[in-house]
Amino acid sequence: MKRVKWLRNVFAYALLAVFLLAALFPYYWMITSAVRDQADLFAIPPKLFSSSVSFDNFTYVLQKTRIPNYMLNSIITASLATFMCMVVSLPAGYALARFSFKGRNLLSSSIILFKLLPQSAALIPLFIVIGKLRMMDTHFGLSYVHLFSMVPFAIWMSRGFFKTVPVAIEEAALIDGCNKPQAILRVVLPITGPGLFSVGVYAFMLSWEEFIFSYTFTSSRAKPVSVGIALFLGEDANLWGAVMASAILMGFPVLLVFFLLQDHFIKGIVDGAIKG
Amino acid sequence: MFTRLLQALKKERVIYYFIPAAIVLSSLAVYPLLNNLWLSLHTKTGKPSIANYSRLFKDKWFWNSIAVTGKWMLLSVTGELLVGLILSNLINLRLKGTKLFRTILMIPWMTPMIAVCTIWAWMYNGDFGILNYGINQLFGTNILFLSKPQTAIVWLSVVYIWKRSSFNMLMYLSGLQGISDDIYDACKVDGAPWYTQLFKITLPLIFPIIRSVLLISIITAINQFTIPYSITRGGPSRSTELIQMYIYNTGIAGFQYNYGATASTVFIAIVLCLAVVYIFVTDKAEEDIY
Repeated sequence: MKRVKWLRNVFAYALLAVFLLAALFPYYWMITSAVRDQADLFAIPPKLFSSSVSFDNFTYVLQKTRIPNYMLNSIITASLATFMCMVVSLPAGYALARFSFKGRNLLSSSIILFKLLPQSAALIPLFIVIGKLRMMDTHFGLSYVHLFSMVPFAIWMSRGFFKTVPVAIEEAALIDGCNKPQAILRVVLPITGPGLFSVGVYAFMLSWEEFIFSYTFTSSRAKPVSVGIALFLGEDANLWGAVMASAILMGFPVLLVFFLLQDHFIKGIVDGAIKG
Repeated sequence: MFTRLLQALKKERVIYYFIPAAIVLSSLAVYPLLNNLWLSLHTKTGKPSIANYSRLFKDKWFWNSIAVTGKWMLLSVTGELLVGLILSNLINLRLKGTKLFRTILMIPWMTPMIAVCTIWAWMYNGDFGILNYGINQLFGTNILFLSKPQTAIVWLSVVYIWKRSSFNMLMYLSGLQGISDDIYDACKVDGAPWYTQLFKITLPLIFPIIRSVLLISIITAINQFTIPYSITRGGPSRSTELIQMYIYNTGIAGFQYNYGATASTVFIAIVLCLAVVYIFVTDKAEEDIY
């Protein structure tokens, strides 16, 4: 029996090692490609290990391309969108978690429906409207259309976190003389704070990496980094090192935040997807 | 009259919480849905007509994009389901270092899609790509990853599976952890082999979750745009043009608003059917679990 378990563990570790390698190798290749010099980057056969380390690609991206502008655009758009998203979604998430009322199930279902809607469903009508309102290529216009996928997500995720606050705590605050807004501000928000913070961060990321709307609704002034990198990728075959460097600049802040907040993220996403 | 209205407003307080979200979602989702339908039933000049639909159903490239999307969905969903199940079972063995493994496996899922696409585009590169070189060294053949119309979609789905599997893993893991150890202990006492455990206990018990995740996976897969758009631009010879790209190319890039809206309406109808099934099934699943 013990021998079987030992064998099983060896097999499991071996399988895990394969998957971990598959998950991590692309990152190894991205990072090393970004810090290689041109000769090593385009060596035939490709070199798995390279002795040359140079940050030319990063200085090139930061000084010679418009990627820093696009990053700034993304930061502005995503911050604006996250702010609007939280203002709009948190009350709805709270009410869905707290009150029982007629039609609550229907409302929950329709929010899931919105969450699953493809972006192309709104693409053409919004393209016409945004054009008519002269909001094409503006930070506000882009951040507003980003709410399309952010709001249903934030409502659903925040609902899960609000549900973890026992009603009794809130009632106790009301009995102690708080009014409703005070009870929410002083009791509910501090308890759900870390969870709601992760909702905000997740919403920010949705806007940060969004592609199809960003590509359609911007042309230069408000162009975000996701579109900038996609165009960079299609532009010139000899800039692979620089493309990898800009992908790192875009991706690594996100991963850093994920490591710090992963428990909240995982809880929010899993609960949101399964417990209907 | 006015006081009664005020009273009614006071009574229906719950609705206030939803007003901001309702405004945003009706302007961004409900209005566009209706507008899509309206556009699809009118010609460019605004005359009511169903010409758009008859043209769409005769359009060979529309059917091409449907077929490509179907292929894409089958490949991606099967892939992420299998890899997700294997990973969740591995993690659920609770070996030493599991938490670290889980975190590492989640990295692809958290990486922005466009960054993922750039890495894979570079690895698939025909001239300098590491994958081509590796395959050549190991098996002595060359795989034309992105330049063969028959198989380009397969290699794109690998990118998608690589990114999405850990989401599936998380979902299945939450299901597996919900199964009490007592059941497995009882199994061991009765001397049931591992495959009996797998097929008679584990899989049936997480079936409701598999069903829900499968439906989300299908919908998310057919909603994909970024991977084919940034890596192959739909090529070679439109063999990776998913339905959303077709809508984008005809409606936005081709300025045929009405025609694009028609394709979009058909696509929305498909997604809505799947979404309704999902909602129905998850409601039922909830009754099963709790």
